[in-house]
Amino acid sequence: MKSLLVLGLLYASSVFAAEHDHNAATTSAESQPQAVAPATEHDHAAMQATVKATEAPVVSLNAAVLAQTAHEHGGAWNYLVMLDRLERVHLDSGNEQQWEAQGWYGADYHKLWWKTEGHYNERSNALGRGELQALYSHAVAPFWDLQLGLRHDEGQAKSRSYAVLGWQGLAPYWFEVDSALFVSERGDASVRVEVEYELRLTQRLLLQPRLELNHAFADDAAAGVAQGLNDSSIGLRLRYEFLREVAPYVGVEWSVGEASGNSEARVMAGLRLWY
Amino acid sequence: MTDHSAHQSASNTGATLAGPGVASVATNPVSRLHERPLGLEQEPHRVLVYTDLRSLQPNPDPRAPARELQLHLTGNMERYIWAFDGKKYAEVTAPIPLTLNERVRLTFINDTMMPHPLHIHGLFFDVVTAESTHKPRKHTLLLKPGEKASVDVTADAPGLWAFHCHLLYHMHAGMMRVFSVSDAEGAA
Repeated sequence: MKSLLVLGLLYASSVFAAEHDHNAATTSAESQPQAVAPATEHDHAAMQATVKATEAPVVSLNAAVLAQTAHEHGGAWNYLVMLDRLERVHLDSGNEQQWEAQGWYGADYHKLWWKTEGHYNERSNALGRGELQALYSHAVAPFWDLQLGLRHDEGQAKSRSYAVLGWQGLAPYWFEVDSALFVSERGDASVRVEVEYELRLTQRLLLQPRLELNHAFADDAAAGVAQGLNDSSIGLRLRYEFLREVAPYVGVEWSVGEASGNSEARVMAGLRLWY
Repeated sequence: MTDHSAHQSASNTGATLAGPGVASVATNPVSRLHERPLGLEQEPHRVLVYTDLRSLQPNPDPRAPARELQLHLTGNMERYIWAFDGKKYAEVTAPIPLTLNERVRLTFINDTMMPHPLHIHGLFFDVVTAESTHKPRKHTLLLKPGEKASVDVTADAPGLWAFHCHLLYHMHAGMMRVFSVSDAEGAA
């Protein structure tokens, strides 16, 4: 509303604005009960007469006013922090703490986007793998962003840096898709596709199927990557949104991967937070 | 959009109805002034609709409009982008010019999937219904999803006048314009 005040200020030197602006008239009637009489005399013919008798203002938006009003009417920058998975996973080989989070800061069409995920092994008391991505994200279609940036991995295997080309958004029928092509510093390519769906059982209880596929086109043994599927999983998480922003969950997940060469079921409990 | 080329020439923003901010386009917009507002369709009591309204006084300006401006209401709920003609207020560089004392028809097409109460400052909408001399006079008109409706405006007040969706979150997201009313030389 400040911008409307700014617009109004263009006319502050005359009574013209106060008499002519619906909002201004209403405001003055509410805040100054003694002014009810002039404010309720809202006769349009009388107002026209007033206008024509008043020396008219110059009709232009100067740059400062335009910048201020633009900022407040579609030009604002916003942010999101989404801690999608903060979970403790039960494994025979030792429990893990896993995380996946992402967020952005920016305008409607241009954003700085970050993503992180990884796991911490409780038995070895060490970071299994941690990954951080820093991306520029551009809105290219109503439901899709194209992303470009860098990824860096640290952990028990050799650390690696990657170039990232991402494609993220909402597919028809409300499937949330987060996919990317990675090219490592060694020149090895891999792709990742994550798909989530939110099945609303009640207004607060949600069942979320989640699929993650990581496919490497080449071996990178030092980084713990084998050609084929790595760290891929399909899972179901049942969460309860005490608040929209605070939702604990329990889940089960089946993982497959060429590197581990096995498939196992895991149960987990976690928390989803955003602001 | 069968009338897209016509829209392009009629619109003074030169909009193309596409891009990240436009999630849907009404392919067959129709008048819905005779319909009840959303949520009141099944109420057992009588509900006033726009076509029930008749101005108590004759409309002050009986002239027919000399020209027509079209404005599409566009948006994308997923990104929370709301705009006119696919462009947020922050993306346009100038007010929409009206000439002092001209009679102009504004035609609104709601391409979004929700109603928007369009509000104008300083001027009045004479809502185009079957009424000829007693059109209902409003400063806010609720546009239903997929609706196409027209209002006639007499640009009788020089100055800059805000025009916006009165759902203020939508206004702040960009569903806003400014009309400038000035004489032919550009000064009021």
